[in-house]
Amino acid sequence: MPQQIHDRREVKALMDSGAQIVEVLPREEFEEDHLPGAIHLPLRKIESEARRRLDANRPIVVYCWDSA
Amino acid sequence: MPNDAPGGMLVCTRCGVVIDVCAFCERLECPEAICARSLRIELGQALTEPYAHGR
Amino acid sequence: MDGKLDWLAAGLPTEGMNAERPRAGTVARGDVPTCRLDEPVGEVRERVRAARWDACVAVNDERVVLGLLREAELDRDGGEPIERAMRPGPSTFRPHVPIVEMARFMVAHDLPTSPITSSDGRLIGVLRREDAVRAADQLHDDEVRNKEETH
Repeated sequence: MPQQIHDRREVKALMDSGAQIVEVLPREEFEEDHLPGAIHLPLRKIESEARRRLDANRPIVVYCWDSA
Repeated sequence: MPNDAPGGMLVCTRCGVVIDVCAFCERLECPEAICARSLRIELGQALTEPYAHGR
Repeated sequence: MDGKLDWLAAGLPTEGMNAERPRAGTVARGDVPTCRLDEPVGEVRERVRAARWDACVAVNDERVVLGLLREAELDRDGGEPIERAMRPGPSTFRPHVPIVEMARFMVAHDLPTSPITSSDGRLIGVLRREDAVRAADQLHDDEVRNKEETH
C-alpha cells in the first residue's frame, strides 16, 4: 500500500533495512545528486521498466525534488 | 532587468516583482536585488522564512 | 521527507557529480562565535575579537539561528542586549548550495558573510566571501586541469 513519507529519518531507516530507493527526476538531475544507492527510473519510464528493474518483494521508496 | 522601478521602489532584477528588501543581502537598495522566489530558483533551494526559526 | 531537496538541505550524504564539489556547507566555518539573546553586546564583542572574527550568530539552545551581528551591530553600545542589537531573522542558506553560486552572489551583492543552516534552521557555520571565492576559483582550476588531462 503506497504512503507518503514526511520524515527523512524514516527514509534513512528504510535505506538501512534494504529498501529500494528510486529517483524519478530527469537523468541530468540524478547524475548531479542522488541519495546513496538510489536507482534512476525517470517518471516517463516507470510503467514500462519498474517491474523489470525493481524487486516487488522489497519496500520501494520513490522520491523526486520535493516529495517522497 | 534594470532596477529602476517608479517611485524608488525596489524590484526583483529577475522577475520584476516589487520587493521590500533584497532577499539575498537584505539591503533596501541593491543594484542586484532579487526576490525570495527567484533566489530559490537560482540557488535551487528553499529559503527558510526568517520568522519560522522562532524563539 | 520532502524529497531530495529536504535530504540535501539537511546536509546528508549524496552520490553523483556534485557530491565531491565544494558547497556552502563544506566551505562554511563552523568555528564562528555564537551568542545568546540576553548577553550584552560588549561581552560578545570582546569574545568575537579574541576569536579573530568579525561576525557573530545569535542562536537559541538548539542552535537555531535567531540573528546575525556584523561589524556595525557589534560596534553598538556595550550594555545593549544582543536581542536589540542584532539583525533578526537573517537570510540563511542551505549547505548543499554549490559554492560557485554562493561566491557569485556574495560578490555581486557585496556580502561579507552568510549564515549556513540546515533546513530546520540550525547553524552549520558562516560562509565568508573570501573563502567562497577561493573555493570557486580552485574548483574552476581543478576542472580546467581535469579537462586538459583527459584530452
